[in-house]
Amino acid sequence: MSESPSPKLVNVNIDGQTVSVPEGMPLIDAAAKLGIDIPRFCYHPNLPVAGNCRMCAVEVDKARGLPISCATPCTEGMVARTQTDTVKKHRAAVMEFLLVNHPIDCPICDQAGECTLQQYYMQHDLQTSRLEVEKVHYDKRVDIGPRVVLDQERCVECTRCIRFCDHVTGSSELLMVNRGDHNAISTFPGTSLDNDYSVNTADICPVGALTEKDFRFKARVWFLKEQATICPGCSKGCNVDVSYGDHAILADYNGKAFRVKPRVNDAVNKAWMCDFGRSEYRRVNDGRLSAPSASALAELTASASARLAAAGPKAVLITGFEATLEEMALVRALAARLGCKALAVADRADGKADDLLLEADKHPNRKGAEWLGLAADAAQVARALRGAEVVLVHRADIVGSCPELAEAFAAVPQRIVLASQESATSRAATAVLAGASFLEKDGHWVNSAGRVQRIAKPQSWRIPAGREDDLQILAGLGAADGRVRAHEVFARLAHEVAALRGLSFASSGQGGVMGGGACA
Amino acid sequence: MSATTTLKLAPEREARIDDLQRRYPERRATLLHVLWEIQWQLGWIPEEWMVYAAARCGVPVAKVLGVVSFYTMFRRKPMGRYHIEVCRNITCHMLGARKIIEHVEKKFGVQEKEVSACGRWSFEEVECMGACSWAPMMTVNGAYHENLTLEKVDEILDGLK
Amino acid sequence: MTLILTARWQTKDSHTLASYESAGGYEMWKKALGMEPAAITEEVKQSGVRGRGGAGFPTGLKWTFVPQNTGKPVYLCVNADESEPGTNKDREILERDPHMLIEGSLIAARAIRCKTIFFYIRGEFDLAYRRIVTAAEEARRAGHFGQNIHGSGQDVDFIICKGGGAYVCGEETGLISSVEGGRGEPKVKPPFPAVKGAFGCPTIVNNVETLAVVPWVLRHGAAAYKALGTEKSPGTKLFSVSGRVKRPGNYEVPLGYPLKQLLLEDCGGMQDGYTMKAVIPGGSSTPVLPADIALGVNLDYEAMAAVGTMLGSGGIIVIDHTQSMPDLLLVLAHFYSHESCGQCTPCREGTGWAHRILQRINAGEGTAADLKLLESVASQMSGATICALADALVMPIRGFLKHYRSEFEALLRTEVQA
Repeated sequence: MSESPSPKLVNVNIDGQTVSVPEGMPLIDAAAKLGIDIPRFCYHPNLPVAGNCRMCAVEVDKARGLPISCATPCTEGMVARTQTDTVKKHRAAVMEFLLVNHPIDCPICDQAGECTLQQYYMQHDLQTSRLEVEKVHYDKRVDIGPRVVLDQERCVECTRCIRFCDHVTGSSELLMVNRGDHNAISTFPGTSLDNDYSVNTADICPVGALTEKDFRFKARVWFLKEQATICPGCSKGCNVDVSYGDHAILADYNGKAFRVKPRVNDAVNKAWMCDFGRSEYRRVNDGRLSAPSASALAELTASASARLAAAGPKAVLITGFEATLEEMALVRALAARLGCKALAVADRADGKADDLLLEADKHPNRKGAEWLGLAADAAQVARALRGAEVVLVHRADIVGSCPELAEAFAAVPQRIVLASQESATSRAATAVLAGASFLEKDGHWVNSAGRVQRIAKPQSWRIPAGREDDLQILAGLGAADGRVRAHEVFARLAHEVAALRGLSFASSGQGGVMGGGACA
Repeated sequence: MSATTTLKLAPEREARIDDLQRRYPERRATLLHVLWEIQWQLGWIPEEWMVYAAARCGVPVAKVLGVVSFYTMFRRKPMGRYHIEVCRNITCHMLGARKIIEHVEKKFGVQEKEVSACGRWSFEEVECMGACSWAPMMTVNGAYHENLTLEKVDEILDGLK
Repeated sequence: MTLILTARWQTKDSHTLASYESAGGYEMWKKALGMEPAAITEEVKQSGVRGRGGAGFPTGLKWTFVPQNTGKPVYLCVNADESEPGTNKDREILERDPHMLIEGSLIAARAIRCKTIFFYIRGEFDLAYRRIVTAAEEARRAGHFGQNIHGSGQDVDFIICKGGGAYVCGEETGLISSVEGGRGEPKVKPPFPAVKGAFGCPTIVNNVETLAVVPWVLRHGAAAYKALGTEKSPGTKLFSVSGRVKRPGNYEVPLGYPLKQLLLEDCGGMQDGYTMKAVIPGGSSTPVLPADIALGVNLDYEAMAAVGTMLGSGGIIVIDHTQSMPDLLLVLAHFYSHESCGQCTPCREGTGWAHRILQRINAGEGTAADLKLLESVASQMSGATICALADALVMPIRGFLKHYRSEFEALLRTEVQA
């Protein structure tokens, strides 16, 4: 890969602090590098500049008036001030103007608690309303698309949604209709906001004008926390935040996941994710397997372990492309101890792919299985199953996805299934061990580009009795002596597998890290 | 998603559009020309003709609606056979525009942007038309009539078939 | 008095090519075809011509801002979107001497090495539109524009764009957005159009009246133009006068001409039964002057600035004694709010809010707080926007309140004592 020439760096001074940035970087981004968060509605680093909200205006030496910092490219020696009285008054003025026609819907608006207008009111405004005239009224609850709802009145006309559809998806469904304070977001009659990335418009909408239908009226965000993790929907490995209930007093939401939103990673998904991934949180809530109690699960594990040990080389261990590297490592270790085969197989058919984020491979960790030498196809797995006495199927719905494998599976006398959700495979099992969902474990997946990315369990999350982290169950099945820790498993793996050499939990934390090394 | 259409304007209009699209650096920039040709031919711009315009100019159909709704002269519904516009801006206002507006509304029983029941008349208040020195003024189907009095207004309107 | 713009207005069929050529029309264009572009620009720069759309920026200087050798085409947009209330001068140029304007545009195009002129005319103009379309066709047939013009090897195209009805398209970047086939939304500046304008290319936008004088400047020379008017405001200007004067209309006078003379002599003074109360000197976006101040000021950029207003477009609106100032301000507020493109927060919301406050005041429901609020809204809009439309409402609000606050106060309802 050829090196692009390094951009020329310039020094800019913001609020008395200097920072060195590439020439031409927007001043608003240079400020962010100094930890100075200039308020903004319309600016988004992944969208072209609009410059219409006027909220990001600051004082810049040698420039007239209050230039908007999103449209001010950094030049050598630029001096800017973001906290002067003039700037503060201006921000309060912009806020007041935005509130002139904004409906005070907070009590019924999903955005409450993560609304830029609310946040900036507290930070930059706090004025009493001087409005004594009618607000302009528009349509509310507009069914603008299959997954998004529009409230035209709440719109602050930042045009982020329009720019997203024009420049990211190129589908241009959204438009601004009319003029002046009768401006409103709309679609052409007979069309709807129906692309595979439509919910991103709700993410980037700074207010509750565009909201996600699936999340509508489900939970107040102050009862939720967010866990940084990776979407399990395909091999792209988009970085996401999963919102889950976590509240000391209102416990109704605890132990449940509510939604998935993209997390910024410029190397993988920028600020976006596809609409399909949005429903991945349901894996945490729905169709969960569970033993009646912790002791029951322990018993089942012990008895399964004994069966596997008895079968030795006549056992077969199958895992799926959704298992973490650590889980795959323990499956491999167990196979070594038993002297039997270990294989990883796909259980989801290839699906839709596009030029944006969607990849045909709908598993999050096929590459990990390949790096660990476990990847196999259905024919190989069927062959391995022939004549087996015990099979352990970990996180792969082979019965539901492949008739050939379903038949082969059914022929094995002892069929142990370790999974988190009910499936055709779990229903055809002789013993079911209830494992953890992707939100309840620490581990790594490798995306199609070879980026090793961390999935994680929220620290406060309690896995209910009757279920257990897969790693501990695998250890209990004989893969290791005693309880294991994910980072130790990973550290050992990094020694053994060339593609993971030099990596660790510490290095994979923020944004993932490229693996592959010599065999990338 | 590109728009497609089977509609076509009258040949001389299509020829004018073709000519302009050859001379412009970008086809999309001819959108206002196309919208005018549609409105000149049909009197307004129906939705399927916005789709036509989108296809003709290679722009998303959403953009066409955004443009049509931005400009006051583009009509999204038909107006009367005679569309009257009376300027309401400052000099016309000082020189009696409001009386003319009331008079026209009463004469045809129409409110702003409404079409009369018989379909002959529609009416609209407009902003400054660049006729201040000859105020007050009105247009009938775009033709300027200036230095108006209520009598002149009646004379002009009664004279229309 | 030297007349440049209106010289041929009394001539029969002055708008025709035959009439124009018989008076030496297009000779300067032929001369310009053989001149170095920089030489043309220099002549216009030396003449001191200033933009006549309202901003008054030196035209020749503006032309020098176009970077050469970018490899990109250069565009010229003729701004015939005249929509500033009180202004109808460009219209009459289009109706009576469209060829002078075409010739001026062509010469300007050569000066900035432009090959495509976009002539943007507001959609509402009726006769003016037909005249420019006919004139352009005449000029094209006569080979004054097109390819290999008069064997010079040069190509210049002239395209007439009919606007759809939006005052904001008179703003140069709003005009450019419309020429590009979009909503007439002004663009964030910088970059300025001369560097990055239509289609991302260097673009100059000039007013009709500005370009119309260019052939005269080339024929008579910069010094002759500079000799007219005042030192800082050279040349003549076309002023539109409207309101209850005896002879409203367009008048060409040298800059520096006393407004009193224009209104009381040329326009014949007030109609019988009316006295002069106030004058808005340069289109509705300029601060109003009470009659006594108006009758003491000269018509040039500097003199107007000195009394706290602007020469602007030269749309002189004479307000008679029967007028209610709060009522007129309401009319203007409705206009600016209706014309706001809606992009940026302060203008979109501020003009609408100001309008609704003025509705309250005029309906007798306003309070003292509303007046303060109106001033505050004006302040908050000022200088904070993408273009100057918001400022164009701020000026009348400030001007009207400065000189006629008592009329507003008289409409306020008395506060109910708690």
